[in-house]
Amino acid sequence: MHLSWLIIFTIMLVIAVVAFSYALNKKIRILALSVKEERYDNPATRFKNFVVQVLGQKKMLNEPYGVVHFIIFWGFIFIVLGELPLIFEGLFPDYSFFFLGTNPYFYMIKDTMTALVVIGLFGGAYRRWVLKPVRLSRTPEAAIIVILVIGVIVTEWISSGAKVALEPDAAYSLAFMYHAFASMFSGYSTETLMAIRDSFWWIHMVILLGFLVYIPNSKHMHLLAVHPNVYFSSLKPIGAQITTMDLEDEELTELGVARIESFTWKQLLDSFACGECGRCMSNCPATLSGKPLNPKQLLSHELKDHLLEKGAMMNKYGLKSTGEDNEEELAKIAESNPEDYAILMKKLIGDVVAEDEIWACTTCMSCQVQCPVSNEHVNKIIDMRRSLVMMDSNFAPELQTTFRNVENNFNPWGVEYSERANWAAGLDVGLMSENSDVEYLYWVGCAGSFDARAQKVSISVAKILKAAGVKFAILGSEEKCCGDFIRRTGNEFMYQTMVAENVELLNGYKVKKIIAACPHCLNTLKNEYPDFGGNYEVIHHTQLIEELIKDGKLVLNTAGEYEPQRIVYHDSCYLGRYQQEYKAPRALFNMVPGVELVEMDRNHDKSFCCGAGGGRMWMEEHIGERINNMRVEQAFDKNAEVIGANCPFCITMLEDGVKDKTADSEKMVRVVDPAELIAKMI
Amino acid sequence: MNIVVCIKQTFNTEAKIVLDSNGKIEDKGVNLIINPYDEYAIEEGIKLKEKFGGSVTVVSMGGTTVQAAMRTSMAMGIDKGILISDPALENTDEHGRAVVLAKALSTIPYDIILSGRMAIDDCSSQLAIRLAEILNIPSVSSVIKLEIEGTQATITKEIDGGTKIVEVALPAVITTTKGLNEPRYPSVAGIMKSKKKELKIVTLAELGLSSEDLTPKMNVVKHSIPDARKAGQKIAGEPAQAAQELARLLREEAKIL
Ligand code: SF4
Ligand code: SF4
Repeated sequence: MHLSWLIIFTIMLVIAVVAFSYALNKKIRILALSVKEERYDNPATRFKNFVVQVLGQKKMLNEPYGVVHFIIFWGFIFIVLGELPLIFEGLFPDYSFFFLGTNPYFYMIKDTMTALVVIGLFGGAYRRWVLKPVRLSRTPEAAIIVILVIGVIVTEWISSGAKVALEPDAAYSLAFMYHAFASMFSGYSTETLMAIRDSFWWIHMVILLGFLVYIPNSKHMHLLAVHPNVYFSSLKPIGAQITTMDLEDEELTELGVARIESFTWKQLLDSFACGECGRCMSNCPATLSGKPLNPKQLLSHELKDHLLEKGAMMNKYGLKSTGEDNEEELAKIAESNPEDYAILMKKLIGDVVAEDEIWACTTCMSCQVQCPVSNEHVNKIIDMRRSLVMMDSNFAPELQTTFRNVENNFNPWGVEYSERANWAAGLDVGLMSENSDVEYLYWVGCAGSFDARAQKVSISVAKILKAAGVKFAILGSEEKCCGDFIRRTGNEFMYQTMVAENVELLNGYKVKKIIAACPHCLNTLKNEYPDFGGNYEVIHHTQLIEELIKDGKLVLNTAGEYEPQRIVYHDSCYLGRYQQEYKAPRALFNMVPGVELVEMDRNHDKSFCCGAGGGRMWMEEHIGERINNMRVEQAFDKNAEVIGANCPFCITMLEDGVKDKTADSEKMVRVVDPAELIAKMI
Repeated sequence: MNIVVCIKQTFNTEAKIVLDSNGKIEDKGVNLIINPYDEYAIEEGIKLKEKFGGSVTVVSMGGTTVQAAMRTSMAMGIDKGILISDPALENTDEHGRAVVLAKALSTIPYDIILSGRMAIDDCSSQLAIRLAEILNIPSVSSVIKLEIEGTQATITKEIDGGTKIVEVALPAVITTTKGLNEPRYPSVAGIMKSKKKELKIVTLAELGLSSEDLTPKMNVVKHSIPDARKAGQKIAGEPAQAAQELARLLREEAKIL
């Protein structure tokens, strides 16, 4: 036993562990400033998510480069395991570490994994610094970690290589990297080999412990935070994650989030878990169209940096919040320490996150669907919108007009509400108020009721349902805006008012099954109404039509002349990512003779938003490129005559984009819903 | 500064007007709003308070439904309200209402009285002017800019084809119109606060008035609804021929050429 080694190593270890714990504790105390949130239910499901996403790296592997991360992740685990015999046998050379230290297969796997990690790191570094993809940042932090990890691995190879060269050990018989280094050292004297073995053992330990301390002090906190973050990630469907506020609560004085400590711990943990991979920004319509919102930047820098700075300051003064309840305390700090006060008073909205940034989000959910650490970006944005709208009444004037339209006429267009069923004139569509003994309620939605273009889809759907003998009715002038855009623009108060009225009506008719032609209505009715006592089985018209055809209830007439047409399909966010329904609309298009259905480059869960979601439909787009035009250009790349869609808002946005981007009005690309083509075949 | 804002609750601007079997306007199922011109008055009242301090009182007449409009104005920032509620108000006209309003205002202090240029339902533009006459104070209509210094107001008002600047001494009645300001959208925080604000309901008897004081000076003979607009007609064919056809239709069918 090397007594002096043991003493020195112990001192180093204690210092490193203390420094590590200090830094980690500082972050935990900052997180503890936040608001409570219940995320402890369903441990089995949570553990499964952890296994799939962390151990299995499922989302990482959705992209080819994810393989590198997979290797690094598992390589790390073997490096850590390998440290056990390395440290133990270094300090107690006469003994072998239990099991690992004597197992040649362990060393074989470890050598394989570490060799792959080094190759992977070089590949990753080449990509980051030579190919320079936009989504990866080229920061010193990113470089330091690569150097540290390679340092850890290579020093261990050298030290163990020298050890093998000194005296072959059966345990290392399959450790090819050790042997490679040992053969490099052939011919070296025993003293030299011992010096190499010992000095690199120490260099290795210094790098290793330095690495340990570096983790909680850098963005590589990711390595620690990702585990709880994935375990505690939301178990709700992606369309049900907006929190329902208790507006009856008399205590409630602040609505939404205007201060960083008003987020919940899980909302803030997201920032620490972020690995800065940039997947979220690489398909974000706001980022790509040049708006000030970048989901990666928002989480990994704006919110995190502010949290660390302000949180540390709050802990310094023992403040639990910087709201009105602490006014006196804050006034004292303003007197005694104006600089600290300035940090405490930095405004989350305005100083840290710009208003335009908050309004740029279309709630397309691409960020969350792509994020490998299961971060939840959108909720934070909605919470900040809630503060702007409900506390400060601060939002675009055109949105104000829209809110008023809903207040007065229950639809965002502001058309007189009694005209809601005018589209159905002459179609012999029943009203629930006349006969509610039907299988389905057809929820037409505001667009389908009032927008001239969407009305055509409503008419097609009604004709198809009638032809298939489906027993259904509509609500007519009793139907009111579902509230989707109202909630997503932060007006939770008005949303809940609309929902209460709609739920009362629907439950009064004992509605069980609903057909929605608008994916936005579909999502809120299906995923959000249950919080308000509205429990319905909701289906999109394309899903039902596909079923009806499959079951033989709707027979299509394929005789006759059909011109060949090339249709490029656009997945709406709210049917695609929100409902994971990619099949049904495609199946319907494919049933039409002569149709050749093609995909855009960005399709399925990587589809690109049309720009209308999250209330953006009702707001001017002043900054950057128009998102709908970008999507239309992506469609034009496929040289199709028609763009296929499934959502009334997508249809409007895409048609506007087509008009904007087509010089020759004779050659206008059409935008159609599959129901319109199917209706012509009955 | 004591600011008073008089508002009326009207039909929603998009509401479809129908007459009942007695030829009266049917109000069932109609969504009600604050008369849009009165919103400018509310906003201006709140702005004056923000600038000069004091309080803003909203005054209105009608049944319980009017409370919703008054609460909305309170959510925007009005401090308190007085609602004159009495069945006898059903059977009066602008003259009678002005008498009632004047009486109610005589119970509270006022430096300025604001109201919309007209109500979008009956479009009579009388009440505010009559009120000023009874109170014996000046009135300025269709105001698009209001500046106050001490007890003097410099006012820009709309006139046909231009604007006119006038000066009046306060107290005065000002009627507001589009262009004066952008009425704010009440925040939810404001809505929650508004629930706790004072809203006093008074009857005619409490004001010391009887139905005789309200005897109308005019009598509504009949309401009628304009004929529905007919669908347009599309004329097909070559431009030259289509133009000829259009001319023929205008002459022979529409008989306007
Ligand atoms: S939030 Fe998620 S997707 Fe975005 S950079 Fe961080 S880890 Fe990657
Ligand atoms: S939801 Fe869509 S628009 Fe909003 S931040 Fe995420 S990717 Fe960007």
